Amino acid sequence: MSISFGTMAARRFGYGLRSGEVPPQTVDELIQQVKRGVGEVSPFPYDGIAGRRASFQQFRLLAETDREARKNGTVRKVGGRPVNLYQIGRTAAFLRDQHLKVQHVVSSPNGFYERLASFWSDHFAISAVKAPNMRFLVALYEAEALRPNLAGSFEQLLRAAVMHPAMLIYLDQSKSIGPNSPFGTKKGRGLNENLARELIELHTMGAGSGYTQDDVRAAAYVLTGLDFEPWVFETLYRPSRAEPGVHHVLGRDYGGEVRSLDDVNALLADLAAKPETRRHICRKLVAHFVTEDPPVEVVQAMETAWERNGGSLVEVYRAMLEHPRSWEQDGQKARQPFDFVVAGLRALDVPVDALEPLPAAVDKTATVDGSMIAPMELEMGQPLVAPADGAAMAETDLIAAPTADGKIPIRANPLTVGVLQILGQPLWRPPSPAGWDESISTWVTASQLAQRIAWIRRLVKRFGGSSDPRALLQAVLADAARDDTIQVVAGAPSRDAGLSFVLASPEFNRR
Amino acid sequence: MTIELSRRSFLAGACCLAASPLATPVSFAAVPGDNRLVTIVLRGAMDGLALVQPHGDPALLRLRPKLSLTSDQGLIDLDGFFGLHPFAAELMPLWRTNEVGFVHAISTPYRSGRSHFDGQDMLESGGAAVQEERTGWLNRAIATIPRSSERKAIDVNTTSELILTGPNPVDVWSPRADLEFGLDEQAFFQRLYRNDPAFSTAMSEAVEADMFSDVIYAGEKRGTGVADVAKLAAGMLSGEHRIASFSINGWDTHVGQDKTFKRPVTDLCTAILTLKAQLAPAIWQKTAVLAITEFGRTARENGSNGTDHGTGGLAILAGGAVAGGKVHGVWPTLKEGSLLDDRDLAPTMDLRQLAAAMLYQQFGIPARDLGKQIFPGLSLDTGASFLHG
Repeated sequence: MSISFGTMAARRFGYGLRSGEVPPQTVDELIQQVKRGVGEVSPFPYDGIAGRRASFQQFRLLAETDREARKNGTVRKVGGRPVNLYQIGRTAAFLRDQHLKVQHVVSSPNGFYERLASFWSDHFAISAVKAPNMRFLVALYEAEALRPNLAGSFEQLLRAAVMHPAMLIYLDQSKSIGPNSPFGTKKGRGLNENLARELIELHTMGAGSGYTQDDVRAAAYVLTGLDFEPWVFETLYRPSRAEPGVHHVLGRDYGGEVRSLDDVNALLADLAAKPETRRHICRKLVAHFVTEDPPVEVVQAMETAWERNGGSLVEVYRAMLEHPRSWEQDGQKARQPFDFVVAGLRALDVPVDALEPLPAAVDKTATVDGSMIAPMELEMGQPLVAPADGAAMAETDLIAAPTADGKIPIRANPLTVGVLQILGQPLWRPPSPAGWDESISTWVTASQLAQRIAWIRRLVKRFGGSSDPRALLQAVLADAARDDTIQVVAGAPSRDAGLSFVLASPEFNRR
Repeated sequence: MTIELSRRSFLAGACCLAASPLATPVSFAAVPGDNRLVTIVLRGAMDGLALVQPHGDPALLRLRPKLSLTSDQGLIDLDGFFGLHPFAAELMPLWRTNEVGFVHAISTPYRSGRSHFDGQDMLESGGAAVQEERTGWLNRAIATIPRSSERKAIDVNTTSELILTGPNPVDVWSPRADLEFGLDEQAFFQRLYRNDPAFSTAMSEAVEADMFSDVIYAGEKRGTGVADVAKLAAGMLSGEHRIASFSINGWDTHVGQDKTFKRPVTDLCTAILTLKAQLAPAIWQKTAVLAITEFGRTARENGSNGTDHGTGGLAILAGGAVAGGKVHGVWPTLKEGSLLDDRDLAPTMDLRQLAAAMLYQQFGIPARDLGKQIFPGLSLDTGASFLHG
């Protein structure tokens, strides 16, 4: 069975077909999606990159106020339960950012770009649960470090990702101190290898590609000094924490009497240029987009494009897309939950305003002890943290609104962010620096299928409308529909059941 | 005989089984002699010094003037040195019959970072350092269980958790998973998936698990509370599963611990008591429940009547197959100079020893496997006091 270019392009390299949207007809159109995407202003963080950066000092104030209150035993309570405004503020910001990501991907015409953004966000994985401040940094990281850089060179993307404060927090770089640096000798502190190990094992060369533990350790020495300014979240270099001397990584020397950020940049450039790195990255792209067992010739064509074009990622993507073997056999991969949920919302043309976070359920019986929290209704779009406009701001102005009973004002929408948690792929919370598992066996399980079917039923009930199941089948699976599905949908006992079968079908859950 | 007993008592609770037209294809194969292991991950860092208080250590009152309890305030003496928090009073009958025990001053090798994220990573992966292992120790253990009939594990969560994640197949099913199929609808789904092996396998497993959980819940309303989770785990362990795992959250008691400690402790008691109530006595006798947490909390109470992230913690053992009625471990004391970093209970026991001992005791996994792929570098102490008999 051979499937048309458009159907396969939308399924394999995008977030699926949507009625009324013409799928890409050529490789160039897919590449254009990437170029357009890179030029877009990221829709998250919800308050914009500059807005988020401007809010850091207020988050800091909340964190410090909370710490003081804990120390002094003056934590405010509602009905015996402590109310932590820092926690409420960061959680609400995280929820809003997550919802915006889903909303944006659902409505984006640049499916391939969005798939790539998720791919790189998984490759350079960080997690919102690593530390409290990561809740308001993960969206910023994707917006600042990844999205603008995924059509440039790999080295550029590597540098932006690895040196972003969110990555430095996630992989403990701020705790890594040269033991013989002035700071290290004074405080008796030492090395943390976490970033160095993942940089080589996950981000660049790949596990088992020939480096040794000594290389990891030496790379960790090279990385010492790389840090960020607390509560400003700008990357900086602290020479007082850098391990002095020359460090030998994979046959090259870095450092010297005077250490500087140049050493870190040189290490990243050298790792980006390694043949092991391009093989690892190209292979991983094919394994993610096409098949778990990537054909050697596709990977080789991509490596060649990489080498000829100085690591230009667009040329690497193009080489993948232009290879005929990238267009073989539909449905070799399972749609992971994020991919499945987005494709489902697109399939039923769910309006984006139905994908907002929901207001918290307020317990009307609880009352606020004391007068410090002004209970107010939170309107969507209103910043939770008010914009900075001077130091004399009253405390109550800083946080827009916990609920009257002292809780986070919004909660996850079960159609989007909520179901991703249930399906085992909470947004921006991968289980480890290695990101999400790629294999079919992880995502096609009994529990997964039951939960997907439950979500499909809810979705169809609310948004199925008067759609004809056969029309939906044609619109979202087109020539990828299998005979079993066509027959089952045509013979469905009800309209809702028929619509559900389309989204529950193996081919809708594969790509 | 055992099989009849467990099977009958299991079915006795299943009023609607006979009414279910789907009942026939399910096998309720409870093989006699099979042991069970339940792990409960206590997320958020459980305060072991609050749950099992060393009232015999004179430093406790000095470090925790508000949070430590006396017998007048309800502390229940266990052995003259340790006392149980009154929130856990429900466990006392099991303590007296040696079906509940504790291991104190225990910790993974995780030190000084005190991050929930990294702490849970080490707790569940079983590595000697953060991110050293990428899969869960309980998953890796499955393949090394000598008897293949004992290799069936279930993660009773809405999503699979690291401790049971890895190369070996594990069922994932939660109280909220419910197919709610009409009969004709099921036939449609079977036709939809019949030519896709991955999906048709998943669907038959889902149908089986769903039917099993319908029997377990017997038409009762399904909640997502800990009693529902424990009930589902017990039901699955009454069938073919030999390993079950789930989590209890809410232990991060930085503030107002005199109140905030109550809910998670009640949940833990509910989980243990539900397992006991739902498992046939013969199965409970062969069950070990191991409740573990990523690290303990500071020896000193903080300014908010709470405690902060620490190191040495507490593990809870329950079931007929554990060495209960005892607080195991070497007490490091809380006196000045003996605290780790002048703040935390100093660990005297590697938590991986306890986990390895349970795998060794329940499934006969050889010590060399335990020290190789499950807990790399660990040398199992087969003389540990918490090994039963």
